[in-house]
Amino acid sequence: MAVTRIKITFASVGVLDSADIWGDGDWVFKATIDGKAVGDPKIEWTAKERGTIELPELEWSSVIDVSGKTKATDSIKVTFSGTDIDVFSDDDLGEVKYEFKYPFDKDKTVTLKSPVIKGWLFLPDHQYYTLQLKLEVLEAAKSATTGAAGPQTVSVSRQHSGSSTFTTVSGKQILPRVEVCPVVPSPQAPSKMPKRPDIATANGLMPGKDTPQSQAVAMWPVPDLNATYNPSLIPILAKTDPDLAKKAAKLAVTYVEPGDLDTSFLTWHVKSGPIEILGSNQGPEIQAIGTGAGAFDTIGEIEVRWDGAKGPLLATYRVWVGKIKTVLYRINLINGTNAASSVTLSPQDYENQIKIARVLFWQAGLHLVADTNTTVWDGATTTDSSGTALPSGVFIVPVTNNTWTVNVNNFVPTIASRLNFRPGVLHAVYVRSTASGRAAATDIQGVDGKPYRMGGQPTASWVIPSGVPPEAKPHGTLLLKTFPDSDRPSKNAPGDDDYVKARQAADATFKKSDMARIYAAVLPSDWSSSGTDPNAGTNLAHELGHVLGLQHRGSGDANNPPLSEDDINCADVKGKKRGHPWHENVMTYGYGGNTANVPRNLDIDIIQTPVIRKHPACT
Amino acid sequence: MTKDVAILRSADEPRELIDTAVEFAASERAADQAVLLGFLNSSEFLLRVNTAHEYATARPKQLRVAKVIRVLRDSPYPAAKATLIRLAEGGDFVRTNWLCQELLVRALVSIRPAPPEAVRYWDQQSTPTAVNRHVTIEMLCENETDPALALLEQKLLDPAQEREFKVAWIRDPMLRHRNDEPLLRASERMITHSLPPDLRLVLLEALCTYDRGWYPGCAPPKPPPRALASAEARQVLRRICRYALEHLELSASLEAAVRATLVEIGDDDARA
Repeated sequence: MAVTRIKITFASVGVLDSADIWGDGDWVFKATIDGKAVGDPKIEWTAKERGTIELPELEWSSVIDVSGKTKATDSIKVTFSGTDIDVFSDDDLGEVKYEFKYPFDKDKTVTLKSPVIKGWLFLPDHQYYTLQLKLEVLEAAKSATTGAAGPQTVSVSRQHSGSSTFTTVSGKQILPRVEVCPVVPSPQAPSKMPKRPDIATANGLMPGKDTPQSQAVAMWPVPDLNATYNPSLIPILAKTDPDLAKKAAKLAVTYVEPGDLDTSFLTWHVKSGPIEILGSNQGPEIQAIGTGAGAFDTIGEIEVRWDGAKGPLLATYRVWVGKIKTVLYRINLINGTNAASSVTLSPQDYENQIKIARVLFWQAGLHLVADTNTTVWDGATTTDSSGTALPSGVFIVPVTNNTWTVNVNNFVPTIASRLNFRPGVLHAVYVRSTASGRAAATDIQGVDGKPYRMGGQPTASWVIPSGVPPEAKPHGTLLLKTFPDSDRPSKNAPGDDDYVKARQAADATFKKSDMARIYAAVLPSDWSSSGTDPNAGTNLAHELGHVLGLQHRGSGDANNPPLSEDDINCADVKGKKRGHPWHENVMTYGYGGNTANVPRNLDIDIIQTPVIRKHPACT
Repeated sequence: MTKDVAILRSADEPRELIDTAVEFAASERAADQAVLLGFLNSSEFLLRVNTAHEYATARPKQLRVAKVIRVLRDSPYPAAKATLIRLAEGGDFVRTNWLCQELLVRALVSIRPAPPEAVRYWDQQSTPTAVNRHVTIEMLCENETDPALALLEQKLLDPAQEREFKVAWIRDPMLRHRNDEPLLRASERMITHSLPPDLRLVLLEALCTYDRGWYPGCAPPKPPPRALASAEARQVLRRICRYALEHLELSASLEAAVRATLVEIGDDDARA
């Protein structure tokens, strides 16, 4: 089935931190699609640090007749550039180019980062924006060359009894493509995904489609615990759990080809592992729980077949099965002596950030729970200044020295992270601001720093070669590099020794070695100015991922080397080795795939899961 | 937008106020700058530009007034730089709170060589009790003129500054400028003369090697590629390395790093 009309849209522009905007920036954009200008290059858009500029679709899109583009070499080129209108000299924001290639048969959203504009003399380098670009298929016509006949939706549903192929009405035999991608949202370019056989174009069928479940789940309002599809762990849960439907793992098909495949014929089967499918095993999406005592985590496999256990095998999903581990947390809000030296949002807003992190860690079988021990130290309180109780697990820590909370240097051990800490508990420490403006995991302890190896197929995050048919089997094992211990006892923050003495005076059970059980990230309270920014929640999850031992995955930040710091890399769409997936893992660095309300950095994969689950904070 | 003082005096619309203030900031005329200085040092004006709540909760660069300060920073005109210097001497702008103070700490970097007023202001902003201390140290390394680097040296010698932070400054902003001749010249002075012995080794280490393990956080600073260092910078670094080999007690690993640095910058005689 040939695509005849598509629409390309410049959807939004995200303003990066490194744009170094002071006040409001005035940006103008120039864009072309297939050589024609779109949008008004004279309109000035207000650019705010870490903000998003939504471009009106009507002006910033173009519908293109692609019926004449029928060769493999045909493409549609897109360009986008920006300028910061300034007083003395306008700043070039950089140009982004992209090429949509024939056959234009799938909806596609790509996020592109603007190039690094090199500074000169004393001016630093800048990277200004991310561009979100969309391709939508509007119209497809039957291919004149394949000779397919008959209603397309019926043609692929005819299966030979006992055979692994399907016959179209035109008599051609095909095997549909069904993917259950372990990374959700499914990775976008530049990540390379396993090669897909050409089914639709070659047979005159409906082009393949990403399913709705392959898309990023909105993290605000905070969704159910099991909101992320295709988790890395299926939790062992009692079937009597009243919230079972909100906790059980949700597994879903992420891509089908032909696009009109009748997914109600898909059936899911446990191949190995203590897994039980809840309710129906038919359709594009199921729920599952783990069974047994879960003394240790085991790997299980689930297969997707066509129309029953003996039907052709279409996909295999590999997943951990284990019990839910509890991770107690404390949110310490460090307030200085005045309003400008106190955290900027409400305690509830920071609690919401950890609720988002809770959803993200649930996919790895970790449940973030407010510390049930409410003992406080260092003058901390469980009520606000008006005496109102703070949310469980949230504490306000008043300090008289504002340097402990304003412009904190969190690239070294901080004073803030020891305040009101309880050994063995995970701490999200919000200070008024950090000198770099960034959050950081400051106390990564209880980790062994050893690399974690994992073989088998499909590979974690479908690192190429993934073993997903028809792709080759993986080469050996993947090796995940993890964070070494930051070793607080020997790498002190100022005053740690005196603090230990004072703490011992207040608590006879406190030991010096307890300083090695500070597990903490220090975050600037002003990272986001909105209490409902889901990116603030994914940012917290990212830092807590570091605290539990994970290094960066993918990156997405052109200022960094293009490889994952955790060493999980593979060829990208251009054949160049780089971090994989680029944007979709919780541990991605650049947040380049984010739009205003739907972050894409949501996935934790099967090679990361055992690393964080063995951390002593997880019990 | 017109350069109309009446707007600055009475308008309530923040965008209009800022656009007008930007016109004054962009001016090369001392008289215009004097007008602007008066308004920037007026808390009444500042509160028409941003609310008190915004001054308490924003990030410094998110404040609307930041745009005006940036224009002053980027201006090629001496009159604009003079406005920054006058702001540093005191007034409502720097009395507002640490956010405006930080903006000024950053903007003063553009004045080279750093004038005494800027150095005095940076000195106040980098005492052990100053919240802008770490930002200020970073800006001293950005400015890189002799007065700024002299203040940096003074901070590294100050016993009231915590050793942990001194090490952090050496391994972060100084490391990021370790290819630069001015910083290397200051480092040479500190390693050969002024720093206490333990910090001499820390600084030498930061100039010659790099260890990801120095940084607990997830976004560690990275040194510039050595290949980009100028011939003059290499010459200074060569002197530092040779001095270290001859006069400092080096661990085996640090000695190896120093020798490797010499080889890296084209001093084959240094091979052990």
